[in-house]
Amino acid sequence: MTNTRLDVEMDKHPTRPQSPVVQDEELLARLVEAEETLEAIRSGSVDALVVYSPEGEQVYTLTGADHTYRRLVEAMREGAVVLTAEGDILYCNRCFADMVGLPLERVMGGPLRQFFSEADQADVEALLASGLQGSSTFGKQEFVLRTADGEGVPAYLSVSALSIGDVSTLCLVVTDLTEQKRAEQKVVAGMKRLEEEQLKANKLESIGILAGGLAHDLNNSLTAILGNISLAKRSLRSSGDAVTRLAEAEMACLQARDVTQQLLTFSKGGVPIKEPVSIAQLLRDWAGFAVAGSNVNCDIDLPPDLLPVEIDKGQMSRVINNLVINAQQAMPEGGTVTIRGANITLGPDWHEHALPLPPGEYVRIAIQDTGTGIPASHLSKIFDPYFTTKQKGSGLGLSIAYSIVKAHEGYITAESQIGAGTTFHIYLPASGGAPSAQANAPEAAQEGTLKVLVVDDQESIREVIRTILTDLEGDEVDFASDGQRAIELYKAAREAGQPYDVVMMDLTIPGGMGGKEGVKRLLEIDPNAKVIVVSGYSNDPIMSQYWEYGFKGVIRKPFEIDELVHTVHSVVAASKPG
Amino acid sequence: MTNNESEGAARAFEEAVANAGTEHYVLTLYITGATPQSTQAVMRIKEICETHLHGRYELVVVDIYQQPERAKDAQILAAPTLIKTLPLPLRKLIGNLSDLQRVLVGLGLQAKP
Repeated sequence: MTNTRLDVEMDKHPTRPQSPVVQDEELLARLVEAEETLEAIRSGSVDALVVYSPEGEQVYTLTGADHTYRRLVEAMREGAVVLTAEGDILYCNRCFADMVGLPLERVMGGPLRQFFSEADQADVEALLASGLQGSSTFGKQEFVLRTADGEGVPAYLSVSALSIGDVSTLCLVVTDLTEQKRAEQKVVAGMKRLEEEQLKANKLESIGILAGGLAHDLNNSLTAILGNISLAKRSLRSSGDAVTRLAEAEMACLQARDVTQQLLTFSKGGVPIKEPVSIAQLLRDWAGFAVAGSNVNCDIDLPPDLLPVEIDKGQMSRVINNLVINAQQAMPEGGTVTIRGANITLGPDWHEHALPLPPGEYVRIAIQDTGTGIPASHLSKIFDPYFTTKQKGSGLGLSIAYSIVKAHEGYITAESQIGAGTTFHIYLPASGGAPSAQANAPEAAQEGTLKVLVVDDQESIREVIRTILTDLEGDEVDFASDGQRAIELYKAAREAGQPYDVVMMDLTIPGGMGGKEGVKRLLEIDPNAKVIVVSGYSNDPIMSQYWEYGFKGVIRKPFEIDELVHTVHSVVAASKPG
Repeated sequence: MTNNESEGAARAFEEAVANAGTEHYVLTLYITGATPQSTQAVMRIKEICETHLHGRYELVVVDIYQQPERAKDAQILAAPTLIKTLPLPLRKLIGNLSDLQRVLVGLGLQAKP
C-alpha cells in the first residue's frame, strides 16, 4: 500500500530534472508523510476517511465521530424530524416530542398528520410535497400543532429534502412560536390599552373644554344674579320674609358657584403651584386624616428612598383625599386601604407600560381597597364628570383627581376586579426642580372713595358693579366694554390730571381686547397702574398667578359684595407708599 | 548520503528556518464538520498560527462534506488534514495536530529532532 501510494503521489507532481539527492529527499519526505498518515489513522487522530471511486468520493466517518451532531440535534430548541416521503416519522428529537407532549417512542414511527387538525391536513401535505420537490418558495409555513393535552402549539414548519442512501426522506424543522405569539399579544394588548388611555384622555379633554366654557358663562350669569340679590337684600334694610328668601337665593347662588368652581377645576385642573416635596409624610398625613373616625384602617408602605415630587400640596391632598374616601366608601363593612409607593422608570418602549407619559423617572402611588370593585363597563367612565354610582356622589371627585394629576404632568389609572377591590395608580414625575415663589395678597383696605375703571362686556355685570361701588361705597366708576376702549379712557383721564385709582379688567372679552393684553398695554402707559383681573374662569393660570402678568389683585366671578369692595380698596391701599 | 550532501541539506534547512521568520504561509485545513478530531485540529492550528506565524499566515478551513470537490482536488485521504501550500515545499499533515513538535517540523518552523 505504501509503495502504491507513493507512486500516486509521485505522479501528481510535474516531472522535472532533479538531482538524485533532491529525489531522495522528496521520496523520503513522502515516505514520512505516508507513515504519518498511517500512524494518524492507527492512533485514532482522524475521524473520517475519504475513498475515491468511479462513482464519486465517499466520506466514511469513523465510529463516534458523529456524536457531536447527535448531541447538537438533541440539544436544539427546535423540533427536528426526519420523515418518509409518505409523512411517517423516522426520527424526531426530544424537543419535538416535548412540543407535542408525547414520549419519544410514541412519536417515532407514527404519522406526522396526527399532529394537525383536519383543516390543516391538505396544507401540511402540500408543504411536504414542496419539500420533496426541493421548492425554495413553499417549504415554510405556520401551523398549530395538536398536542396530547389538547392545547394547540403555534409552530413554524420548515421542510427540505434529505437523501439517506437511495431513500428520499424529508427533514422537518419545527419552531415553537408560543413565546413569540405571547410577546406579540403583549404588544397588541399594550397598544390597545394605550389607545384606550388616549381615547379616555381625549374624551375628558373635550368634556373639560365644554365644562369650562359652561362654568364661565354660568359664573357671569351668577355674578349678575348674586350681585342683584345681595343688593336687593341690602336695600330692604329689614328682616322680613323677602329678606329670608333673598338670603336663601343668595345661598343657592353660592352653592352654584361651588359647582362651577369644581367644573373649572376639572376643566383645567388649575395651574398647580408646585414645590418639590418628599411625598411620604404628606401621604401619611392626608390618608390618616381621610380615614380618621371611620371603620377603615390605612396600611401605608412607602420605601425610604421614594424620590421627591413637585406638587401643589393643596391640589394633591384633594386627590388623595378623594381616592381614600372612595376606597372607604367601597368598604361599608370596614377594611383596609393600602397605600404603596415606588420609584419607577418609564422607558421609551411604551408597549411595556401602555401609559401616555414621556420616558423618565416617576413616583407611583397605588391606593388599593378590598371593596366591592368596579364593573368593567363602569371602569372606562369613572373619570367622566357626573358619572357616579353613589346616591350622594357629585360625580366630580375622580374627574377632578384626574385633572389635577394631569396638570402635574402625571397620569392616573384604575384597575378593578369585582369582589376583590380597586386600585388607583397615580404616576407623578420625580422632581429635580426648585420651589416656586408666591406673591402675597394685599391685606389692608383703602379708606375713602376711589376712581374706578371697570372693563366688562356684559351690561348686567357692569350694572351690579356700578351699584356696589357707586351707590354703596360712593366710588366714581367709569365703564369700558373692552380693553381698547379702557386704554383710551385711562390715557384721557391721566392727561386730564384725574387718573384712575384702579382698573378692574375682565379676563375674557369676546371679540375684543381682554385682560391679559389690556394690562400689558396699561402698564406701558403707566408702570404704576393698579389693575385687578376679574374672570369666571377662576382656574385660568392667569387667575392663580395673576402677579406674574402684572395684575395687582384678582376677583373671581361670581363675587360677593364685600369681596369686591375689599379687593378693590386693598389693592389701592397696598400700592400707596407708607 | 555523503557528508558533503548531508551538510548541504542541513544548511538548506537552516536557511529555510531563517527565512521562516519572514515568509508568508498559506494553509488549508480539511475537516469533517464539528467532529472531535476536526474540532481539535481547528483549535490547534489556530493557536499554532497565532503563536508562531502571527500576521503572516492565511488559513482556510474546508469542510469536506460541504465542499467535497475541494477535498478531491487536494487528494485528501483522511480528515483532518492540514496542507501547507506555501512556502514550498508542499506539505501534508494528517491527524488532529496534537503533536506540536511534529506540526512545527512539518511547517518548517523547527528543525527535525
